[in-house]
Amino acid sequence: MMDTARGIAEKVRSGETSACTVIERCLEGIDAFNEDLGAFTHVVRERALKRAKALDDAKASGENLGPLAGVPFAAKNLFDIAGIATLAGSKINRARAPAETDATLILRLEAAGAILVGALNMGEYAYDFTGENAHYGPSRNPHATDRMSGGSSGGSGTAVAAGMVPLALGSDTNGSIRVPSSLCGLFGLKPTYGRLSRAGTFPFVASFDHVGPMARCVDDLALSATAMMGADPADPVCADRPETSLVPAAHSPAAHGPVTHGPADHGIDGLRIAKAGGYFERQADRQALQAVDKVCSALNADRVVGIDHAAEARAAAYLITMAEGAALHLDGLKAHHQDYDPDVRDRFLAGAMIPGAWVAKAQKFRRYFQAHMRAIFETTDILVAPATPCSAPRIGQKTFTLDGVELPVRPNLGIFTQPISFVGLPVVTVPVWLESEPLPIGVQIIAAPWKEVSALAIAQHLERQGVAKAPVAKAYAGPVQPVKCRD
Amino acid sequence: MSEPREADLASVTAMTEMFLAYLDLPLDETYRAGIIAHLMAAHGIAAPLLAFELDDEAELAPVFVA
Repeated sequence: MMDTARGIAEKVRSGETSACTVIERCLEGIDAFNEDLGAFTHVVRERALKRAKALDDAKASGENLGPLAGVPFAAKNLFDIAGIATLAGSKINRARAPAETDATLILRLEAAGAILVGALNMGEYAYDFTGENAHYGPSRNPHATDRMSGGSSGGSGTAVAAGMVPLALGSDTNGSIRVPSSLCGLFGLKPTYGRLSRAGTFPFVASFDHVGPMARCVDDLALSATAMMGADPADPVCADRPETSLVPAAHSPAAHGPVTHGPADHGIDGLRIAKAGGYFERQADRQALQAVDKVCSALNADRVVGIDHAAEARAAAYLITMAEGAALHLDGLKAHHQDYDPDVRDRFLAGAMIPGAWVAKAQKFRRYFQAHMRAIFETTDILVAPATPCSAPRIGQKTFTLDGVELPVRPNLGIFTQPISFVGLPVVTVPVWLESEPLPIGVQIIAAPWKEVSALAIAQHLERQGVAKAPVAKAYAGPVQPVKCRD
Repeated sequence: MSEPREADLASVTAMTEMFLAYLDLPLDETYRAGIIAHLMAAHGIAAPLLAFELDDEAELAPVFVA
């Protein structure tokens, strides 16, 4: 099992371990567990080892190794990796030419010293919340391998929860970082829409597509997000923002000087915290509601703010997703319809028939709801809401019952995430383990636009109190058999 | 504003047939049940949005900046 990203980087910088040793152990873990768990679709073994050697050589030369020195990470397979076709979970994309360069976020993490080890399984074209894939098999939940990892960044959830890597990149259009973070018991950051560059990623719904990290501690989210943020002309949505860091000051690597905008500086004193009411209380099961209450209790947050029109927001996101997703795949559906995952194909085909008037109204409503949420954030800094309506369903489970109504699992695991990403709000999902429950469940810590630092500060407070925690799954927490990876 | 009526299976089925042809999409019989189920679900999910009154002057969310 791997240490946290921050722990690894500190040990590599101090010389307590080497980047080569870290990467060898990481590859051993992948070799040992991946066949059972289905997290990786491609391992870039030689590239990772070569880069680790270069990093160790740089250390021997006295060079600055960067804040993520020697940290292995993996990326959902919709991120471009030079030399590999970008699958986006599909069979069809195997025919694409290999990517010529890495996605921007991979380049930025590696510039900070991290080392890419592979590409991760995901739902086909990111259109699922389950972590299932008709072509590559499901990415399994390491806490109970007959359970869903959540999607569509399912492999990202599996890899981090099994301790195969300390850090993974995912994408989140309607909840695809937050749902697997909830089901796999991880911390996940869906940043503000436009905070992190999507350049070099295969799109789903450009209006809503976000990218971000998943990890086992808040420091790792903040450290990696800091390394990845910044303007990128290759992504027209990516903003040029003034913030310089989200890293807690107390843990800032000395080599990089003091940090002045981290959660530790910001603190949580004075933050106005409220539980999201109304829609967010109605369809959650007992575990989801208890997890929210546990977080609110730890934060002394007894105020409830009703989020009016959340159902309409979810509806609008749902329709825009159907229409934009179908538009992206219209030609593919004509030429390769037999090669799509049937569940995805039928949703895309249905999306091609959504009336344009509905989509236009949904886009108008998006602006209305944005203003509505901004008004709420004038008197509230943080909203607390469930991430998923329940913990991980069984793999293959088609329906579940929410608020007495039987519904399909695939589109409805994201009922609480979808209204939030609809207006691009930043969210940190925190994992909560209730004493009576065998599986974790996530809680959304939602902040105003560009206030990731507030959500991270709250998440870190909960982590330090022990209310939120992300242990490696017990079955994968022990040592693995060594595999010789070095010449 | 009138409440949107509930979708009925016959009309959704008929629309599916017409749109698959209109858009030159695959007319595979095995796909239809799934497509129709998704359209029925979307109709139900859309209902509160379609019933919500917006000003005529309301702008679309995406704004192109030249």
